Amino acid sequence: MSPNDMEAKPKQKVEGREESTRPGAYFLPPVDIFETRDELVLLADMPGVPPGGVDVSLEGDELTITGRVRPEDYEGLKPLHVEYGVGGYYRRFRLGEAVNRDRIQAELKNGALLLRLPKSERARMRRIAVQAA
Amino acid sequence: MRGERVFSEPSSDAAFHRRERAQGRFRRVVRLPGHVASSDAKAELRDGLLTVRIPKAEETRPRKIAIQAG
Repeated sequence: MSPNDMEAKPKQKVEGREESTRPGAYFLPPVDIFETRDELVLLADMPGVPPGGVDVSLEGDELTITGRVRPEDYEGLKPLHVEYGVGGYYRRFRLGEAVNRDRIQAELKNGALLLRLPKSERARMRRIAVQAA
Repeated sequence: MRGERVFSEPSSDAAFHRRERAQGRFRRVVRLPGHVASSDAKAELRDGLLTVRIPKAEETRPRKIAIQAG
């Protein structure tokens, strides 16, 4: 395997999620999170989730991402070999920075979620104060 | 099937908190049970999910054989 090759990682099932009225399995989407001076950027892989199938909510400092797939696409199919696992996505984070919730942007393209969370004015001010000290 | 995924890197002043998504080349070979009509195979990439549909070969599909009265 050359260093450029991707390694296949098994999907991780979400356990202990609160009871849901929607049936089906949920998986933890792999994420990249990085921070620049002005914003937090979160990217999540959610293959199979159509545009409009994602919910992003921020309560206090708790960020929740939910993605739903179209289970009807798989109805009536008899599995011969199952490795991928059909299901939605669910993940929760606690944000360390105060975020300007009115300016959060979410975009889902080819099953990859791009979430931009601009830092609040106060969080940016605080950072500037620390740098000046 | 094979493919490659490449990310554009964020600006150099960005600090990573988590880095779980994979990038690079991938390749997967699957041995199929039975005979298939490979010339009629269809592949679709939608919402980041690849679906390949390969019809079974005509000669392996179940067939009803009429019995003629002797």
